[in-house]
Amino acid sequence: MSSTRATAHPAVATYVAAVRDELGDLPADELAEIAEDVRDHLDHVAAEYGDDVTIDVLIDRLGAPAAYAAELRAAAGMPQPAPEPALVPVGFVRRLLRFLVAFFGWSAVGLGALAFVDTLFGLSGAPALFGVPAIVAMVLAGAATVLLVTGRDDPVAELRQVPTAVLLAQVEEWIRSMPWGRPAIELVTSLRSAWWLLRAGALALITFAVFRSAPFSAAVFLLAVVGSVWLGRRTAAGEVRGPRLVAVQLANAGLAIGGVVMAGVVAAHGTWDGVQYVDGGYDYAGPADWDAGPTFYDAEGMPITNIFAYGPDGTLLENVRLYDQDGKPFDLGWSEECYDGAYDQSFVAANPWGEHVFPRLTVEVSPSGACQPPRLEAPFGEQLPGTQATAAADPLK
Amino acid sequence: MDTSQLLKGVLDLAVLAVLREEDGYGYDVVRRLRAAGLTEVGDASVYGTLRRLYHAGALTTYVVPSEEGPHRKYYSLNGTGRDLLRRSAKTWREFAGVLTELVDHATKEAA
Repeated sequence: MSSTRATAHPAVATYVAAVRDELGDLPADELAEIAEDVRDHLDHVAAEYGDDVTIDVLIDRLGAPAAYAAELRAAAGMPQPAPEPALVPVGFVRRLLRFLVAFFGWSAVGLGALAFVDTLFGLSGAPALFGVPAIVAMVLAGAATVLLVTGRDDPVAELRQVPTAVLLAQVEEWIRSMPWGRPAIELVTSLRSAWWLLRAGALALITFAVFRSAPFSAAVFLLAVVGSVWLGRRTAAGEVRGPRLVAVQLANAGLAIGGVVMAGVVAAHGTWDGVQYVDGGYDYAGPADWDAGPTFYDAEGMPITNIFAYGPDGTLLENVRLYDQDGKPFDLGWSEECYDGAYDQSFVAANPWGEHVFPRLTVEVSPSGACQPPRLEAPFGEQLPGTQATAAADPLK
Repeated sequence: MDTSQLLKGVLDLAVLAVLREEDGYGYDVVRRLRAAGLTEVGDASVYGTLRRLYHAGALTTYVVPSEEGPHRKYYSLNGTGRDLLRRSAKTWREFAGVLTELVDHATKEAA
């Protein structure tokens, strides 16, 4: 209504703005309505003084803006302003939770980065070394966050109290202050729908790594795309708030870190067949190193694929190192592969001690067509038939 | 005695009484109350009271645009408001009667 009329006198505008600030805790629409009415009222008062009206004149006549606002609030029966949140004492548990959120959150980020680098360059050969602690830290950070924000009226304000959260806010502030900051943020925002697809892909990758089933992962991906886009549109529209929003953001962080680690795995090995799968100290490894065919055959022309040595007392010897007459490691030259129909890949059991160490573990196909974990398939078992193990067993065992 | 403290309890009644005569906008209601003798009445109190009575359903409003000055948001009594005024006036008269009697009696005894 009043928006069509000429701008109020500067003194009136100043006074109204001050009153408005004092009533800032009221709902926006109610505040706008009151500000309009107060301005109309002040315009009438100002008209008494004509052009001579100043902020001092208005304060003389009406009292300070804060007093005017307090009087208005009391007479209109409006709620008193909420006390300053800083005066609320913060308990030990909450401070501890804030610390835990920061500690585990940054641990997850650091360990996730280590796992990514480790996997990409194959430093330790065991992605679980950093990957598993990263996931544990992430779950703990998530749990602490949920505990921290549960029951809070303003979860975002609560999260701002977390140590180092201010640092993130400062980084964001710095990016915004840069000449390229605003376009960069707009670009990232415009990529939002791509992220919805990416996080569904990350979920499918993680599913594949856990269950190792391509059809199941594909189904997970399709369902995840639908869910992710639906959730993304709701979040973008501001319909997801409070603890649910925090949960969504935690899941986002988890999928981002998990997706990056999985992407590192794929980038490091090109395909999935090279994924090193820790199982009882022995690894699956790709067949790329065994190009050559068998070099040793038995009397019936069948390739020799493994060697089993039994000691004088008939006990199966393990981790036996074989060397030829020149002291060179003795290698059969190839290993029997296991073809896994589910992945269309072949697996062999790699021996971490070297290709001249026997007996090797074998990998066999289960009735369902999947390769089973590596096993020791000794033809006579642990003990040669008809022999008796002596009390003084192999000290290595 | 501080009249502003007394005024707090009866401002509703005073505003309703002023509006019974004629519809009025905020600034106008303040002026009429002061002209009637309530010189200490505060602008913000009157405006807050009008707002509260409006939200309680005792008043209706309409806006009269103005060519030169600000808009005028007029408040007028409706049925609920007139009923409230009647009941408040009755309460006031009884209270004022009791207090007047008490004060006059006490004054005579002291004299």
